[in-house]
Amino acid sequence: MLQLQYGDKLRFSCSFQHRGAAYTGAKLHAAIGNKGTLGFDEILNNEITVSGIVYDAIWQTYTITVDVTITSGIASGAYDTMVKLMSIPGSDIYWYGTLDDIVIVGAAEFQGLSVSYQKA
Amino acid sequence: MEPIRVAGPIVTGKGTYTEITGIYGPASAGAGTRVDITARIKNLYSGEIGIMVGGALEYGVSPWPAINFPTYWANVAGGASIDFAGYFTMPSSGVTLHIYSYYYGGDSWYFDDERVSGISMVSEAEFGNLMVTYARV
Repeated sequence: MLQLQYGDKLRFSCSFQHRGAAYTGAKLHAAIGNKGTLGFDEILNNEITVSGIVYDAIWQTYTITVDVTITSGIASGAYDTMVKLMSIPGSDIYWYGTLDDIVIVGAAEFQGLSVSYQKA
Repeated sequence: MEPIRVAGPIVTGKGTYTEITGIYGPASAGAGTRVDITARIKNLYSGEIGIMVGGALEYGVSPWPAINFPTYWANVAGGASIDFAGYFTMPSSGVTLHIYSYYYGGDSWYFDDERVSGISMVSEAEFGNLMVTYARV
């Protein structure tokens, strides 16, 4: 479980493999939100266009980072993560993180005030 | 340096003194790219002989273009193998490589063995194996 505050950045370190013709326009899309039965409900996200994919006859690994800034657009609570490799030939490729692994601790919160009194 | 002749009786035929034991290279390549291959040839003779390699590309044009082997012959000890490095430019279709071996006997090179291998055309980019870790920064 990873706790994040407003102003933090969550850095996704992504790797994927490519072979075949050179390619431009592939995108890595990273998001924080809620994974449900109807899909992934994104709340915060960021997207990087991948450049420099050159021809290779054998699988080559590319490593890219995508930062998502934690803003007040997301409420306090536990969230899920998702990354997809998109705008590529064929279907998008998805990766999902462990459920509820991201905990947003947003604005300051207080609770549990307790008081006792006595004659002094 | 001169190629060493086969000392024994010359019997022409496939694989009499040499055997192409492997053709190594990519399974596929993109059009217009340089393709590097290696042909491994074994000397089946008991003594050292001169061995030569040759190669051609079959993909629907005639005559078949040659594969370039910067070093195309060598004297090879009896029972030993040698790797010949070659290359060619990938055409716009898949190719069948024909690799030939020759031995030197009596002032000439004699064809001895042939082996074929295919290289398919890479026409589209493929992606896979997306893996992710994350951390606060």
